[in-house]
Amino acid sequence: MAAVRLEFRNVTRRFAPTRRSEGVTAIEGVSIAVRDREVVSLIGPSGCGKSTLLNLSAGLDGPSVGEVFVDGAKVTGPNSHVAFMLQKDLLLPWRTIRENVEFGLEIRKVPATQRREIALGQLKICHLDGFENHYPHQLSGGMRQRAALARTMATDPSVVLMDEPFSALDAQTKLVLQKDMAQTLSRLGKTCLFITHDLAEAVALSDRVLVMSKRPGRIIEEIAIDLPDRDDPIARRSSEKVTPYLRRLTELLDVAHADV
Amino acid sequence: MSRTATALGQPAVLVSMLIGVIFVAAWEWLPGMLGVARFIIPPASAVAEEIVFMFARENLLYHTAVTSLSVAIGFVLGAALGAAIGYALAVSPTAEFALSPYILALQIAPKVAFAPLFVMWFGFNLMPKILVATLIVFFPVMVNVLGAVRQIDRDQINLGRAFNATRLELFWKIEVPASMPALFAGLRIAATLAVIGVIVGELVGGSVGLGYLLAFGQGQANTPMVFGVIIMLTLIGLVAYLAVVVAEARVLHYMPKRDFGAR
Amino acid sequence: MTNTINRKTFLRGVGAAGAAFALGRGPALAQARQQITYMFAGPTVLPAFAPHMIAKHKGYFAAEGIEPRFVTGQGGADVATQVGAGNAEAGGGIGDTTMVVRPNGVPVRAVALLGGGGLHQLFIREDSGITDPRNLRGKTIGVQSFQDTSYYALLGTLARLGLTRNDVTIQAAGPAGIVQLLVNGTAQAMVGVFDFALAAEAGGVRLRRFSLRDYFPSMAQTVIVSDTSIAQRPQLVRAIVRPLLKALGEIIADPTKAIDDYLAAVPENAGRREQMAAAIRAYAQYVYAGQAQLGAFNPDELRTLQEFYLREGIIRRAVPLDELYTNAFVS
Ligand SMILES: Nc1ncnc2c1ncn2[C@@H]1O[C@H](COP(=O)(O)OP(=O)(O)O)[C@@H](O)[C@H]1O
Ligand SMILES: [Mg+2]
Repeated sequence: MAAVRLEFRNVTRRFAPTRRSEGVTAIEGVSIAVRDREVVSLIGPSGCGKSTLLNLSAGLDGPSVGEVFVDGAKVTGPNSHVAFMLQKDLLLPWRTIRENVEFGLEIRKVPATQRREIALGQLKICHLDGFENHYPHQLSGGMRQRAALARTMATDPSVVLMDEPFSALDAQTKLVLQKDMAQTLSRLGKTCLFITHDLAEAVALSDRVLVMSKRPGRIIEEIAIDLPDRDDPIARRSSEKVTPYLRRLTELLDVAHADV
Repeated sequence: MSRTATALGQPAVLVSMLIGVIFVAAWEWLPGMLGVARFIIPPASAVAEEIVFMFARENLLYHTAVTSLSVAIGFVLGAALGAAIGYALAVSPTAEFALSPYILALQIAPKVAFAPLFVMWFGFNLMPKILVATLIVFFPVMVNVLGAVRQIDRDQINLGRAFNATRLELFWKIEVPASMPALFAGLRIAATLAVIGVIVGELVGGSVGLGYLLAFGQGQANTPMVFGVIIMLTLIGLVAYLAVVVAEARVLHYMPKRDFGAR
Repeated sequence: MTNTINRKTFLRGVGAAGAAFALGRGPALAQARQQITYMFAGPTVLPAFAPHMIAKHKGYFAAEGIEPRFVTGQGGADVATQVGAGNAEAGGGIGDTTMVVRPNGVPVRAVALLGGGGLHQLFIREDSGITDPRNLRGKTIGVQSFQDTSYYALLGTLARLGLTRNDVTIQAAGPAGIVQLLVNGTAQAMVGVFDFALAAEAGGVRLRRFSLRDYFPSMAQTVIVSDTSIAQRPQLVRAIVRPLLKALGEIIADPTKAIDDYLAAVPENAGRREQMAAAIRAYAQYVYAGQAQLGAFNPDELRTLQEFYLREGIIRRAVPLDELYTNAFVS
């Protein structure tokens, strides 16, 4: 059995009431284990606490109850084992693409020449060679998201957290990027927690899919995707074996919606 | 592409020049034709003549240099102070909360009204003029910087935090560069305000600067001189504004190209 | 166009006033009076404007069929410009005002000189021990501003004393500042009006007064009107000048009575009776008195002044003397 990279043990996160809003319990009693090289998707209705889960994993936020572990160590703050990627590319407009990819390395005090080498290598993997000296505004949305992927991979995290990274892209670009990401993850052997609201995407990309209930979010179902071609989502999608999984997930989400 | 641009640019330049010529011609002849006395609206040629005379006899160059110097010092001081305090308040919500009512009051208070007080407190030297300019420049810069830092995407900051950036690194690598466009927007406004600040200070009292010449010209009902001074002041403001635009173009070189002078 | 209308209104006003007078009916008179704007170069509450205030209070303007509204301008040149532009029917300047603005095309003339003395005086702090202005060398002298007649008068005086502007330190400080400079001892002397000197003495310093006219043809206040008014509405000009000269004559003749009249006319100043009384006495004695013909200009003085201004570069062009003034309205 492979090592557990990311683990939630009975985690609850409550947000205290403020003058503007009453308190909410975003997630409640969540236990998850993501093993080495596994890609696990997380789906659930909007506002059910998916992003909260990601923030807890990244150490940007702490649990109210329970514990989070990355690589066996308890998460108490941001740490170098984790990197995340959001729907927004979060590229810094004043930095070139290469400099953006180097951003995390720069903060980790990696020497300039080494930084450069790593960044150029990642850009090549993400099919962005030739664009290293461009500024973000000179790139299309898809290319910018590739650059964000390169930046995420550049720090060589053991766990990659993704929060709806492709949801803002057009259908065609999305397919291409899904394929590239799947290949990159499997080539580099990364562990990934992938948040999405696109059921087909979840089935196409992951080894397992976790389904969350409406707020307060709990894990209500775990579905293993027993299909080949995890590194080739396009091939997976064209297989008719995908259909039962999609049907099952749709049912679950409806239940989740109805479960008020 | 660039050929189309120049082809489009050519008539625009011509039209612009034509408007200039029509304006000067109207200025030269229209008041006379409408029977407006020269001491009320002097023709363009009288103003041009007066400017030449002021260069020769009234030390126009010296007065212009003094005013320009005050504008430059007041602008730099006000901008530096505005940016520094803007950033300080942005990174310290407590300080902003505690100080905001006073800052708001000072911001609303008409700064030029301080000019007579400053002259009384500091005397007839450059100090009060520079102070008025500093005060008047301070606010747009501070407000813009504060607003810009406040508006930075939380996720952008979180990205830095997730990479283990320190507070100082977040400041220098994200907050400062992210606020540059707003800072420069503030500086553009400030550049023109600085001239107003200095001129109001000079009008209150003293014996140097274009404000003095303005009062002097008005004190003799010498309207061409007043027009001449206004032209020089406009030139100073224009130079200050262009200096900001040039600096902005260098610092914000990564931005998509904008039209000249656009906000 | 405006002038014609105004002249008609005016003539009607005068006619009505005459009729009302003949019939002895007050209310009709008040209704027919012509409103005019008279612009001062300083705040209306200054005792320097006592003749105007008394003339209005005692109904001398009303008797001429006019109702002046006093407003404040930004100094003599501004007053002249507004009068020239037609925004005010008349205004107050000093002897040199028309001399300065006329070369710049402002079509105004002085029609009365309110006194034979000079409006501006030289005041020296008693505790400085200076009893001869010649000893001002190395001292600091305050003036209201470098664009003001008082500054030019100081330059002229220094020249006659054998000093240059580099032998003394001249500071321009504005109306409030000039008093402050004297009181706190930064300046040992000032050139200015009585009003400033009295304010300084109220602040606790004793001052010694020297008449600038011993050195320089410093002049009193004038009444300024436009060339158009002189040509087209001489009755109006006369209706403005005559009441002022009448009040002026009364102040000279009986300053003590004038003080009561003045405080009745300007009740805002009643709280400072002592200071106002001192000012009016000083004006009566040193500024208003001394004219052979009340209100008349002395062309020789104007000529000397103009020559000095030309020499000093204060004016660039000299206009013929008879464009600066006329004595036609004072007889
Ligand atoms: N910092 C916070 N303070 C208060 N409430 C929060 C905060 N972050 C998230 N929430 C609340 O927690 C719930 C879950 O949010 P989130 O994790 O962003 O949902 P999702 O990503 O699944 O759409 C929401 O109701 C949201 O309003
Ligand atoms: Mg979310």
